[in-house]
Amino acid sequence: MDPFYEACYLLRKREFTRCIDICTNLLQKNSLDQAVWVLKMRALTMQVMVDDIEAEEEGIADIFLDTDTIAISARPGTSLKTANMNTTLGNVNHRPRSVSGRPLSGVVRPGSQASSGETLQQVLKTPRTAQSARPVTSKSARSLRLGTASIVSQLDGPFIQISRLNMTNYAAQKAVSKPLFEYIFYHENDIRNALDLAIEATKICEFKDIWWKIQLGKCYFLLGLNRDAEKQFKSALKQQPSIQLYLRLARVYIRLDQPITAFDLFTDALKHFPNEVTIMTEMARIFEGLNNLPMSVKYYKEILQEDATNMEAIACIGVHHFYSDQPDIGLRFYQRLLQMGLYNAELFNNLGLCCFFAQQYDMVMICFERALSLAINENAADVWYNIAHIAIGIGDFDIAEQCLRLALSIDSTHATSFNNLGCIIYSRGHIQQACSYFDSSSALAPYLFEPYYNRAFVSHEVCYNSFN
Amino acid sequence: MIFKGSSLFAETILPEIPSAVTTIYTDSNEPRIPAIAVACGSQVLVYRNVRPYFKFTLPLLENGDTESTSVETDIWRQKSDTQQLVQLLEELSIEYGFSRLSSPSQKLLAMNPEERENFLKMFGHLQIKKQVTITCMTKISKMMEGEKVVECLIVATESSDLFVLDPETFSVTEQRKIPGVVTHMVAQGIYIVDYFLIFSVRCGAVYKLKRDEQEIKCLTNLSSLPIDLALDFDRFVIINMDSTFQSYNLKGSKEWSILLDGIPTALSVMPPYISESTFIIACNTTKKEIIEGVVYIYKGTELLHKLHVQEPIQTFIYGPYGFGEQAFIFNTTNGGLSIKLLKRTAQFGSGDKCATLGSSLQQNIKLLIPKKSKIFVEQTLREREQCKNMYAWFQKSWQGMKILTCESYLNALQNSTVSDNSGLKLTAQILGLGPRLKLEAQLENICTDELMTDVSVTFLYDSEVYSIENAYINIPFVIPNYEYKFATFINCCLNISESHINIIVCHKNKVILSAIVNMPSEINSGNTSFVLLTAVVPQTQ
Repeated sequence: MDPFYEACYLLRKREFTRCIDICTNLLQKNSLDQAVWVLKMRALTMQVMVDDIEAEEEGIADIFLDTDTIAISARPGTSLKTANMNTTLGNVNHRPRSVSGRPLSGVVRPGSQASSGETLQQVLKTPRTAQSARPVTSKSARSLRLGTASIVSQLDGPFIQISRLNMTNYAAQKAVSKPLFEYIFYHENDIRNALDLAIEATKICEFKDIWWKIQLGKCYFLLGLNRDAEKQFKSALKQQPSIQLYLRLARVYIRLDQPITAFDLFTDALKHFPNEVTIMTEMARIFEGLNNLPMSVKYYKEILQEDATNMEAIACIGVHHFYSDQPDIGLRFYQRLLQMGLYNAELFNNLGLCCFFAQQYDMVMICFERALSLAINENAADVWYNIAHIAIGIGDFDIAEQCLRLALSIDSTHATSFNNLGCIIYSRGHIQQACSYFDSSSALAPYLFEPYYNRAFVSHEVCYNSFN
Repeated sequence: MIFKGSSLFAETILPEIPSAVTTIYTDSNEPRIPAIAVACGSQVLVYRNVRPYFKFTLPLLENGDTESTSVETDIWRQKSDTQQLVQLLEELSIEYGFSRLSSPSQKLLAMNPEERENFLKMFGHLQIKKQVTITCMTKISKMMEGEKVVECLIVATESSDLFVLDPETFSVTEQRKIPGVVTHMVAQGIYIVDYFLIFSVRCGAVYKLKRDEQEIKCLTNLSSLPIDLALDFDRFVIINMDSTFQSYNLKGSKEWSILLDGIPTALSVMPPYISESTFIIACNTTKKEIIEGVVYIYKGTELLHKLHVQEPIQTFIYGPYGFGEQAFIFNTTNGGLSIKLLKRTAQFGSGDKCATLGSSLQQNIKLLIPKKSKIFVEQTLREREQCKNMYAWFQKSWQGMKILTCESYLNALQNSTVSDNSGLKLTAQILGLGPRLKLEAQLENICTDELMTDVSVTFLYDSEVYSIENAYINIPFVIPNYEYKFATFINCCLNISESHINIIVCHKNKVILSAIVNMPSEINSGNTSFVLLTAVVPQTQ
């Protein structure tokens, strides 16, 4: 068989390593064979390529060294950063906060850990662990992962010396320029050079090729040049509306902290692509970010009409029902997730909690045992915390205390555990110790109101008793 | 004292402090002249034509308290010296309760020790009887409806008894036990046909008693103690010590409640032929540190009129006086008496509606309780049908979970991830962006009595990944309730996805506590995964 044909076939079968090997051999024989060269580039790119529409996480540096801030104190409901914590839409107030202080969402996704309106100091202080870590800059997040991949394949020096490439030359060759750009962008993650190539290429096709416009936008976006990215995406959108373009443009607006504009864009997108699940998901996320949970759930419900197996929608609606005092309905949603084959500690933990609050007591402990056996690291702390919660509900304070101490031994920054432990200790009459626990709870999680309340309560009681 | 006009008409000396007074028609003789009934101690004295007419003496207690009374009588009869008597009585009062003792015993126990001797000399020879004291009195027409008909007296006593006295036969016609000591009482109906009685007791509960019904129904428990109670056709109104004016229907459900401006002292209802559901309330308000009396006239919740009286009002009565059909007679706190007549043609018009109160602010908060879902109903059904199985299985699985928890806890104790005397608290935070990080930890001795010495802190970590600048920290003393802060720099040499550092607290050569600090990882996965629901944090109430 012709080795080139074989390589093409392997690429289609997604056996990239074998494809690359064959290409390397062919290139050794004839280093000027552009077809093989392009094929190898494609293979290398596809090896590491990820769907980067959703993979963006805004880094710490991007937020705090950002000069695009439009209004320092935006009006409530118009900014993701100042999304009012105290809005009384539904039972939002009772939803616990995630590590960064936002009300919990049903799923962890890039950006759901993003905190709202806090200072740099607070961000740096929040425990940045494997679960809640935020990259320092948005660039490093991707480059690190991709970097590890490239080390493996480049034992004998880099495949292409990007700095030596003549960008204008390659940009003119339409067959080569696009794979080359993808290679530089995804594999080498050299955004600056990729941008140079894209600029040259778009000049050559007289600013008419939509593909190049999107790539330019992507590069600008990654370099933090949000307004330039917006221009590129907008002009591409005029030429040919597509779902991907809408998503990317909306992402720029979200980065600029203009959720309302993003939302308007999506409503426009829904006219072109009615009932599109990805767009509706984004809309639901925006509302969740704005803390408007009823609207968010409304969109998630619409998503379920279209796609009954959308995990994010099921989980988010489940959480909403759980926290709006309908654990019985929440239970159904989590059961559905279990039926769909999901099998992890979080799901069993949630099932256990729903069972407990819906008074289906026979299932509670089985769920928690399973959750414990599946839990890894910090998850286990949360599971122990919830078991302690149930022990408190039963009235077994000794076990509750042990569970809380276990939770703290796994995650010494578990603020809610500190608070509950303080409550138990206080009920035993150890006031000093209880106060100390409340203090550490509020120091670890300044967004929790419970430790402050409890501390005040204990202080008041002590004072009151000493007067009488 | 009886006044006619503004001059003193007659004066009669009463044997005891009176607790209630009312006018009553005792017979059907013409012309209709009412008698005055005064409740004093255990007696009801009836005066006619300014002369004593007759007196009821309530029967002595028979049932219930005989045991304590006989013991008490024995004690008094033996009558050794004063000290012994007092001691025995004190024991008795602890055993049976102070309120069950006879009044001489109560008096003896309550007075100063030096006066006791004298008291015994004077009254020691008297026989000990447990007397009843009247707390409240009201009247009810006996045979027929209308004005100026023969009436019965209803009296309530300190010993939670209710007596109905018939002035025609001079006898007690009915005696009932009631659930408390009555403070206010109103009656409506005809005694021999049908009547009901609404009364409030000292603990603030309102009861309803009906003829021919053995059961005495508790209508409501008031939020605050009542000051006055009045009946208005098919509802009763109450003024309370929390300055509220409340209306209830006869089944005991609250109709409305309004907040009064000042402390109410007395309440009266206009008769329906003058004006329907119109209430008169006397209040004392403080204005610029001067207390003055105000009389409010309400129609339902509408405030019709306000009448200022310069002095604080103690009480007032409302009714016909001389030629005036409507008059207010005030008794002020400094002993004044004033009479105000209301014009016969007085029209109040309509006033402003007062904002009605909920029973309290907390109860006004609407709870967001979702509707019962079908699933909920199904689940409850299952719970009802298989309650035994569910409970048994839950208990069994909970035992299993307890064992699991204890095992894990024991494990953790052995690994010193939790401290055994629970006296040390360790919290740690990682600061910085990396690769140079700062580890800040707080160690606190939360045992109140124990001082720890020779404590050192060190770290367990992967030396290929991290280098710690100050890997051994010595803390000579750990004083209780003081937070020790220590910090060290950590250099991250390698980027790996997940790792942690163990902080170890040693006491001499023994590890007493260790904590795991999860280190920040630079790699963040873009995949979505599920987060935990954490249940709502309970608060101490």
